[in-house]
Amino acid sequence: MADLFTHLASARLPAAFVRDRRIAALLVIGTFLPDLVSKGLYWILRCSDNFETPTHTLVGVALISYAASLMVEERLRRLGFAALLAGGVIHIAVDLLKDNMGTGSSRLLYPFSPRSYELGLIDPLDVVFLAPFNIVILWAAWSIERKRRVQQ
Amino acid sequence: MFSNRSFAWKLGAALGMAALLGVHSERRGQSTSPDLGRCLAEPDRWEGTPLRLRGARVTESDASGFEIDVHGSRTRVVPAARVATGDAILLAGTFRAQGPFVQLVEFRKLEEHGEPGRLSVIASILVLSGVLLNLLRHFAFRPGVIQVKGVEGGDPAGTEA
Repeated sequence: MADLFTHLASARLPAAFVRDRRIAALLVIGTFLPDLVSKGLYWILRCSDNFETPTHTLVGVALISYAASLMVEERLRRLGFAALLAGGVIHIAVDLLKDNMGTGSSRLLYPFSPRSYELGLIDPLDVVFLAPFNIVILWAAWSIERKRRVQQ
Repeated sequence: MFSNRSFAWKLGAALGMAALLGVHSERRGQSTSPDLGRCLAEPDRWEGTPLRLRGARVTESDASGFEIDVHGSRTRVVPAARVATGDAILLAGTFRAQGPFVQLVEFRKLEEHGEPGRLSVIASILVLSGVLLNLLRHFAFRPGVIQVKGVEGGDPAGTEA
């Protein structure tokens, strides 16, 4: 996983364009769900790497997002699901940037295809060096939100 | 799909399908990407299998290669690399039955990344705490309010405590 600070920055920018703050909050938490579930399975339930693999696939993210959206009140549920799913997809997209030594960071299309994908741009052990870029992104998101509030 | 009708069934189905996907992945993974222990138990079967070993510890190093321990499974890795006894590494390689040994493709020393790694974990915990607090600003967490209560003309939005 990339660090959660990087995931936060990647979700906060699109969330800044969402008018409803509750949906924006769901989009941000959606980007954390794949790691929350996979780390929970690994650290708490002691599941194997193979068992947690689907948490970082498109089908797995859709199922997790749907289950999580059911925790939201009914009238927000449809939009909430879309926000959680978008957050999860952003998470996978960010993880795809990683260099996992050729073994892939996500089995995107599992269970339809077992193939792993990675772009190999970032050493996952060095993601902390992305912090300055993340801060700039968070600042941009905050500026966009502030401008929109002033306009309202 | 998003209504309160058959809420428990929908939730159960989603979680059940996710669990089934995990079981399927687990079974498939055992046959396509086994762990080191499995490879060592049946070397001929897993000849040529690509391996990615997390949490490997170097137990011995010499001019021709080095030995690693991965959660109790030990094997030799060739060729030699710039590692010393006690180093924690991430390793990608190919399993070879004749030995058996692992043919090194790429590795990373975790110690070289030790400090940023810890910083990353601390930053992640802080960020997660902040995001959860932000979520609680917008949503009340009331496990006692079960969504299905609202089905029969009650409180569909769960707004009553």
